[in-house]
Amino acid sequence: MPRAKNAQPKLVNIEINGIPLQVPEGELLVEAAKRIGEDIPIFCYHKYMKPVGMCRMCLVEVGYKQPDGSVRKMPKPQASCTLPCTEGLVAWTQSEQIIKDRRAVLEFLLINHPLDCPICDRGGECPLQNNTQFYGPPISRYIEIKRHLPKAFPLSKYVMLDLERCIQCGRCVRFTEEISGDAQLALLFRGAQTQPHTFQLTEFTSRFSGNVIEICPVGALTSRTYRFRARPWDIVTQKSICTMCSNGCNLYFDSRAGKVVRINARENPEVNETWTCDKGKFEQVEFLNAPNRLTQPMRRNGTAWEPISWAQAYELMLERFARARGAVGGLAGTRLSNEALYLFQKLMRAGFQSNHIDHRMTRYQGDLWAHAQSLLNKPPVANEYRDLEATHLIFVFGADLIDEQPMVFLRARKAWRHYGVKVAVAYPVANAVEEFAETRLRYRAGSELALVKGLLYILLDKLPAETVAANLPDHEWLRALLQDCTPAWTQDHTGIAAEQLLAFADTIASVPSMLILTGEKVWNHPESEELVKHLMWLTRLTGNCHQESGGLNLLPLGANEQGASDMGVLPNRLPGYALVEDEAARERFTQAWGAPVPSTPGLNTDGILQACLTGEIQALYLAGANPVREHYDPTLAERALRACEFVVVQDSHMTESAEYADLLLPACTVAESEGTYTNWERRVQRFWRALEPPGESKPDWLIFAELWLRQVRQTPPFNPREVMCEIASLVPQYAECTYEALGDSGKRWG
Amino acid sequence: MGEYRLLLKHVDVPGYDTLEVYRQYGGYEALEKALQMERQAVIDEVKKSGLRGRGGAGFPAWIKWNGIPKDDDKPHYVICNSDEGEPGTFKDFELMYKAPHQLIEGMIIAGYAVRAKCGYIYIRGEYVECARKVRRAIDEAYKAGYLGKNILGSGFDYDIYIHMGAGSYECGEESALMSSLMGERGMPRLKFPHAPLPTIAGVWDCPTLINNCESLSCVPHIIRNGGEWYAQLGASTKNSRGTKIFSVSGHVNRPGNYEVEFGTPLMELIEMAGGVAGGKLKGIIPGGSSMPILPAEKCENAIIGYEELMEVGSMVGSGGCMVLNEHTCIVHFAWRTAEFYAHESCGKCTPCREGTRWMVQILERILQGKGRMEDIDLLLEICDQIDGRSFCALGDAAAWPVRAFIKNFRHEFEYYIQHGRSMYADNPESQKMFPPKGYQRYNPMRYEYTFGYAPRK
Ligand SMILES: Cc1cc2nc3c(=O)[nH]c(=O)nc-3n(C[C@H](O)[C@H](O)[C@H](O)COP(=O)(O)O)c2cc1C
Ligand code: SF4
Ligand code: SF4
Ligand code: FES
Repeated sequence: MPRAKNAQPKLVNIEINGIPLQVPEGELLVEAAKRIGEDIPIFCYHKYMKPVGMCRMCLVEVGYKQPDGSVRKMPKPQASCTLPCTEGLVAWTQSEQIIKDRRAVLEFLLINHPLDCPICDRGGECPLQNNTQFYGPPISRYIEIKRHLPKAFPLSKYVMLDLERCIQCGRCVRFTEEISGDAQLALLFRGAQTQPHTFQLTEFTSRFSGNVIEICPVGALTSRTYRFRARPWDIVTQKSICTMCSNGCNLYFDSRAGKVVRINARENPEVNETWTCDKGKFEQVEFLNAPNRLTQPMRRNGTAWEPISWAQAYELMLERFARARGAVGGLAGTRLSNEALYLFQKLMRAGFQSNHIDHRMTRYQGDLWAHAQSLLNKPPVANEYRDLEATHLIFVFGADLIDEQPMVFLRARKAWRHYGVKVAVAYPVANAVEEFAETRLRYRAGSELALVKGLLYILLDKLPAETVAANLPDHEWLRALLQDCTPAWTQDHTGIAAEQLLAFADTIASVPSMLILTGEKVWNHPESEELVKHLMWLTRLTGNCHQESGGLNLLPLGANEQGASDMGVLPNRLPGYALVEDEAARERFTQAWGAPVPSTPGLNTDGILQACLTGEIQALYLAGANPVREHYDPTLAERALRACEFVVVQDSHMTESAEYADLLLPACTVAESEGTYTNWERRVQRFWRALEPPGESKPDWLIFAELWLRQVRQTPPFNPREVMCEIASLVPQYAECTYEALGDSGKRWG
Repeated sequence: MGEYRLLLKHVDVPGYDTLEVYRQYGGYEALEKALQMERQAVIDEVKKSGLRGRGGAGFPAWIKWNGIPKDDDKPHYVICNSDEGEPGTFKDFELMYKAPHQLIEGMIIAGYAVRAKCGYIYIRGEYVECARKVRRAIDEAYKAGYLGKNILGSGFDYDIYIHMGAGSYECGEESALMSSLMGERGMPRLKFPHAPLPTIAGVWDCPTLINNCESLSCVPHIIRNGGEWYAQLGASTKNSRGTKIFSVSGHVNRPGNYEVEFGTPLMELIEMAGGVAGGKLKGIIPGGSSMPILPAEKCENAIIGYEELMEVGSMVGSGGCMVLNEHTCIVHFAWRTAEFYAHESCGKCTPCREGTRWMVQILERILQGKGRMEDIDLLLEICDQIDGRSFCALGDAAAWPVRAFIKNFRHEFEYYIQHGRSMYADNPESQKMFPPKGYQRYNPMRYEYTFGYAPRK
């Protein structure tokens, strides 16, 4: 049963340490105890995994109220991490017996655990160390020989296993079984020899391997990239958001001596729960610390780079942009914050009088918002993480979900595992979703459109006539359009057997709601505009545009791609999706910005690159964008950059596109600036500044603000907070997204 | 009172393991009778009989039977626990080897009563011969129409499968058995009130009835003769009815399986087995190695019965009655027992995993003559720290015997520690009880790698 989205749990009366309280029925006793501030020590229990009761650290005394009012105490202490609360439960967590039992469990755990915390990488942030300090015996009575096992065994590129420190809590094993689903770790042997490992000591190749490091309650699993680089007490921790994809995982950046040394997950039950993927956890550190950082504005001097000052750089840039007289274009990267993106388009529009701005690098560069509004009356991404658990069928279409949207993958898997949500996947090659998908459609690469057409054709017949009429009153033209797309035709074009397609259509027709997740294959389809429209018709036809827990989700790929659209880094739309042709909207922005906004829609990415070739655009501003690497046609990008007269590249690192620049502006990474990102589900989330900018680099928003000051000669904003206030006042969707309102865990708009 | 052969009545008849001979002695009559009865009537009959589980815990059988939902649409399962891992117990062996049809008949009746789809017999891995016999018997039963579709025209379909264990004592514990049956690691699962009872969510989350091989073998007799008749047996005891097979081993003249009525004095059982061999009695472990030892004084008045044995400080358990004569070195015995549990601990929970190993290490040190006086109390405390704190009862089972050995024979431990050698070191009678030279002990330091930890780049 999918999880009802806003179900109200039944409450039961329990009593802990004499304090009566009401908790939802079935809540585990450890969690219930937290409500009265009672922290029961634990090792094996993890909030987001099924409890197992292995370590016995959380024992408490338990009784049940009898009808006559007396309390019947259970003879043995019970594990509170596995005990669901029921009416009349009475628990004692501080009794003398429990204090003794905790000491006993810790004594047992420590007999084989090395007592060398000072040289352990976990020392200082280790649950075993902490629990021993609070509840453990002061000395050990153990004089036998300890268990000796291999130390520092590299499980994978990122994870190191020290078996001697392992306390066999099973968390890591359960993670790979329950959460990531790759089941790569197992407990080998039995009794005192029990040890977690990969089955044949092969490499641990999970995409989510980093999580086991975080959940290991001792120093058994450590990060090979962080191990012995720093100590918990000499790192500074700052809250942040991941920039590796659009999932918007909440993170902590741990930095030491001006460098991010480690990234950990930050809990947000609405988003990443408490997980991260290895891209966010390890590759991001590599990215942040990459040696090719830009730290100084530079201009091209023949084949060499000549360092210049910021003032010279601004002067040079403004002079060349002025010379181009409106024949300027700008591409923004999706790692920029909302504030930076907003200021970027403001600068380009009101400052340089050009609507030639965009952020999209895939083939699809149409007016997505308009289609979604007119066909579905919803934003192009309809749902949020929670909806994955509430829907009945998740249809992954053209996305390698585990790679493109790792957290969405984990949620989809959870929905399937815990709530029995059906999953279907259509992708040209093998992918991880297939492991739990009920329907697996491996179509021929490039035949996405044919597949959707075939599905529509079948569904038009399969769905009851009144449903079709209600959902798509004007369905006759669609029928006419699709008249050839019979199952046999579809089989011919996609390679998917007609029966399989029919069976899948049956499934779609039988479920009350369906949630479609699309990916890169849709964005980069040669006929992506058509494909997107067909997907919208599919959503409409099945009635999912009216479903709260269903709908179409054209998932963005870049970290802040959603924010870039919201902020109006689009050739035809102002912040908040107002059209540039819209007189009233333009007037509003002109008023606020104190400078006019050009009224003709600009060129999109492809148009801008083409215009560079023809000379229609003479100055190009790449703000965090790297078309040579990211654009679907790198050759076009390369030629365009080479042809363009003046290219400004503003980036944190030396990129492929920067090789073609005439002027380089050093910008900051996410760790060095402050701002907000909007993830795929339109959740606006804050990140904080963790580090000082290196060298002379500046945060993106500041560069735009300083250019604004020089170009328009108006007071620029002084900090991102102020920019967000301006956005909130102008963009209706962001009206409630001031920093105060966003808090630590963000807020979803729409 | 005394010996009462009910389950073992005909086992020595040649060919009793075949359907033909089994039927000559009234086999499958009970099944025919049961199939005529209402399902609830069968359960009521078991209730009247007062049958309690013979696998160790002595839980009233009918409560489990009655606990299976009566009107759900999930498949139900019956499991026969023939894992028989308890040291000193070999009753299920004989029941399966010599009277497989009796077990099968019991399982079919149980399956009928709880509307089961099929039954599994989980047989200890080493019992290959038993499994063959049971296999043959199942095949015969299928041919005769006692198994399969529409059994004896009653419309009841039922299949029985054999599942072999792989040599883990823990897999006899009912929830670990279910994990093992489902192909998971043989580790116990959460129990009530932490999780639903197996009668609601057992294997594959479906209602499951799990009973010991002996418990199920009793069922045909209960049905054939009526629950009231069965309840007369052992009526002198507080709450134990029927007969119990004891596997008498150790220092007795005629070791073997003896079936007695509840209420029989323990010493009478020993007499049946030919009396204590090689000297005077030192103590008896009546219920398998997990149960506390009864020193000779207490054995005199001990009556066989669940509550009766509990009163004198031990338990019926699985009926693995081990008899020790006066030349037995208890320290060695304690060490051997502890070694078994350390080896069999599944490793799931901390007290059992670490505590059992620690106990072996201490006992081993004492055996090597390096014991300290405080080790005795330390052992007792470790027992307290395991008992009742472990995840499943194996932890308790490891603690009880050691605690009882020390409580009852503390002087032997003290002697060993003081002198660095056993009290019986020079006793010629005791020599053969010491482990032979070169005996490969359970070595908690040894890691059984089947593959090397080759350094990886
Ligand atoms: C560690 C351990 C091992 C056990 N081994 C066996 C066994 O080998 N055979 C058995 O019948 N019961 C065994 N039991 C008891 C079972 O858990 C369970 O109580 C029994 O199968 C229930 O059947 P009964 O009600 O017919 O006794 C064991 C229990 C524990 C805790
Ligand atoms: S490695 Fe860590 S997480 Fe895994 S079982 Fe050992 S202590 Fe637990
Ligand atoms: S007591 Fe714990 S370690 Fe021992 S067998 Fe049971 S679950 Fe496994
Ligand atoms: S936290 Fe409850 S048993 Fe481990």
